Amino acid sequence: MILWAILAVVIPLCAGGAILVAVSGRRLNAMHLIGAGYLLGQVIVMTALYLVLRVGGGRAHARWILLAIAAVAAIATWKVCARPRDTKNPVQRSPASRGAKALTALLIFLIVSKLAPVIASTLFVPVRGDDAISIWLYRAKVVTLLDRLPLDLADPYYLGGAAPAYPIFLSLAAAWTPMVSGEWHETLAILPWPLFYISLLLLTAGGLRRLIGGLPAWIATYLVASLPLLLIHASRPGYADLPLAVFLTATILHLILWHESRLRSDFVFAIVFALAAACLKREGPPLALIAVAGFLLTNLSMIRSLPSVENGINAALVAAACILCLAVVDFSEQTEVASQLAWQPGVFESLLRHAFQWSSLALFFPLVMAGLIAIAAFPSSAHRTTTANLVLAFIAFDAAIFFFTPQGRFALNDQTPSRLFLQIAPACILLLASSLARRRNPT
Amino acid sequence: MHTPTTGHGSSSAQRRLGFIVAVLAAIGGALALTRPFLPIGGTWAWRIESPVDLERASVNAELVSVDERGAQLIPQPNRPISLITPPLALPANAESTVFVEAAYTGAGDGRRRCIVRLLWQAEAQSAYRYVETSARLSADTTRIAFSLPDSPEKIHRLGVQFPEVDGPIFIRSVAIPSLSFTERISLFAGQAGEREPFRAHSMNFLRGPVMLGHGLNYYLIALIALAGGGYVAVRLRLSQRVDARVMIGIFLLAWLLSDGQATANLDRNIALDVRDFAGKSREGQIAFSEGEDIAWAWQRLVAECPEGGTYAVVSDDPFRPAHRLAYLLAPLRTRVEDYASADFIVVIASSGARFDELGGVFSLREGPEAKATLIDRASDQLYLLRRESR
Repeated sequence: MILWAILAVVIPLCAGGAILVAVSGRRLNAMHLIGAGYLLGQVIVMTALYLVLRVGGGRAHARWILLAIAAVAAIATWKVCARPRDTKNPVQRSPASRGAKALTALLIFLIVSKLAPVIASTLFVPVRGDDAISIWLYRAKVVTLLDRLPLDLADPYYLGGAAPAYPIFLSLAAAWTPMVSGEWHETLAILPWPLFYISLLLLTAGGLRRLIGGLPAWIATYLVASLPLLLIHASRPGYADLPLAVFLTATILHLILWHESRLRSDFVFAIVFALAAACLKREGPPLALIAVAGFLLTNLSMIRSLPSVENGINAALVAAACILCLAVVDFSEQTEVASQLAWQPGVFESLLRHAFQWSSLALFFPLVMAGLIAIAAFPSSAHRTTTANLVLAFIAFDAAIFFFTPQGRFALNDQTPSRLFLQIAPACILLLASSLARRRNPT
Repeated sequence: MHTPTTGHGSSSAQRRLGFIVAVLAAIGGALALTRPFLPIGGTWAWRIESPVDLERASVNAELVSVDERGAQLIPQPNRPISLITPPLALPANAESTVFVEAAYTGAGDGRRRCIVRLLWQAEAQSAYRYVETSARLSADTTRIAFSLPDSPEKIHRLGVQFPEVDGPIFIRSVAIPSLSFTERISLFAGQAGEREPFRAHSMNFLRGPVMLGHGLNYYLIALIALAGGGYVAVRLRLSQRVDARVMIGIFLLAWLLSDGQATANLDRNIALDVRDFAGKSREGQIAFSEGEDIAWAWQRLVAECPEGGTYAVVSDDPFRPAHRLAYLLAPLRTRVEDYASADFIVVIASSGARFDELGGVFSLREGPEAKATLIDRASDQLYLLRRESR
């Protein structure tokens, strides 16, 4: 069982990493490659299971799917090997001072030390979170033990048996390793959560290091790694907020990379990650839309400078992603919520409590305020309009959910504001870091 | 690293404005840091020495006696001891710390660590909310400190609850006293190091430590304002450039303090979790995390209900037992809502459930009657029935 579990984790990771290299070339550093590779691997797993179980309506036969993913990994690796090595020299940076090296070492130590409680809890403590038990892992267990996804409305386990309007993808990711292993095992089902957390850190550190250099990248990674509620979600797995935060951050990172490189591959991966974010949770589609549309709208001059064929392909990609999202996500609950728009009294005080008074997100909101003031003060900051608009749009969207929809009751009973802010916090830190630690490209 | 600096090329009016803002930030930060340590608030006390003191109070326990030692309470079945004050009119400028004086005689000569909750109600008829702490109780009176959970004018009643205490307890007073400076320092240190226990709601938010009525973020933001404002003021006064790296360093230092507290809290909670679950069987783990009743129901249903069978959960709590059992048993055994159509009925603390063992009839309030046979019983509030086909 252990061997199968290892294969279930490693093969999709290798496939994701190999596809990234095959498509983008050898531009990505190892940390970025592993972090994004894991995410892409999870996208492949979720898509394959969805196609077999939901679209095909058949049994999963997870080990055959694993074999197919291994074949994809092999083909991508072969393509990588057949490719000539990049002869371009990597970007040369001035050597770091001893103080910067010492601070970087301290930050890496602090980040790595976070993994001990996360791993200990994953391995030795049973799942107890309400939503984990009643929704996400419940459906994963049903799918694993039935080896199918009931599609008959009359079946008590229709679409996994709980909250059928919620997207199924995260439960499929949780079910994957137990399915390949051949039996339901809770520890195997929750493995994606600590791995999502680790991939978020690798993605942030690796992706930002390329953009802003070592020390600022590690500072930003440390800020992300030490968000208290994020650590709790990593060590008490089973909720959808952490995976959504990770895919949203990956989307933003690859959009920034695209802004720098103008390479279509970066845009493609950004859209893939945005689609994954949209398919994870009810808040996913609007957050992914804000990320992509906000980025594009604040970079119109850059888009105008691209060849029209390139813009046409990119537009087709976005349209395809939107159509896919509309096809696979049940929007009935969102539609119902949107039809009951009304001012919700008493919410403001609750949001202030979550943002500034309590410790769920440490000093994230003061950081955002200071960051936005700094961006306003320093016109030389990179993509400052994009950063300011996206950060404000993310926060405004979360606040609007509570101010104007019946979800306001979950602010009054303190159930969801911190969790919704958690979904956007890593992406906001990444945006602020990539703007403030870098000068605008004069071209 | 791109490190922007200010003060370069800016006009003297801007510099003067920047200097004033920086000085104000530093002064504001200093005042905010010192204010919690100054004895400037109003006081209030509720001492329980005779039955008269309990008039209009709410006692959720068996009241054994009331004398100068306080109210002696023992728990009612399946209910934690709690004592609620009469309606309050706290002074608007009340001090920020509430003390509860209590003694636990069930611990013998030793001390016992247990959870104590401070309850509060914003207005009559509204639900009670609570904050909790872990306290070491003994037969001698112990003072348990809580930060006042809301502004005084928003507190209609206060209360104290002992969810883990099963023996007699004396509650002597609930009070908001004025503390000396040294008492405040000591209280600050104690509250800063307190563990915030992880509960179901910890997936939704973390309150973080509250010291002298203010959360950790309050002190850290004040510290940033003091240090950052002071640094900028000094640099501008000396007509020198402000180095953004210093400002980042100050912010990072504050974040490190916050992270240190949060990580220590996480580590302590996870270490406790790992210790609590280590070496336990699956049944033991379920009993520990979900409760003995759910573990019993799970074991009995696995033993009695065949694969493919259905069961209904009848309980006053519509969420927890049903969802926990559904997760533990699905998809081999399926939970159904309607007990009259289920193969098995498990009753877990239901005030409306009636089972006539002689007649073999089960009913729930005004619901339909179902013919059933008792399979096993752990207590009057916890039993398993097999529904018989008519």
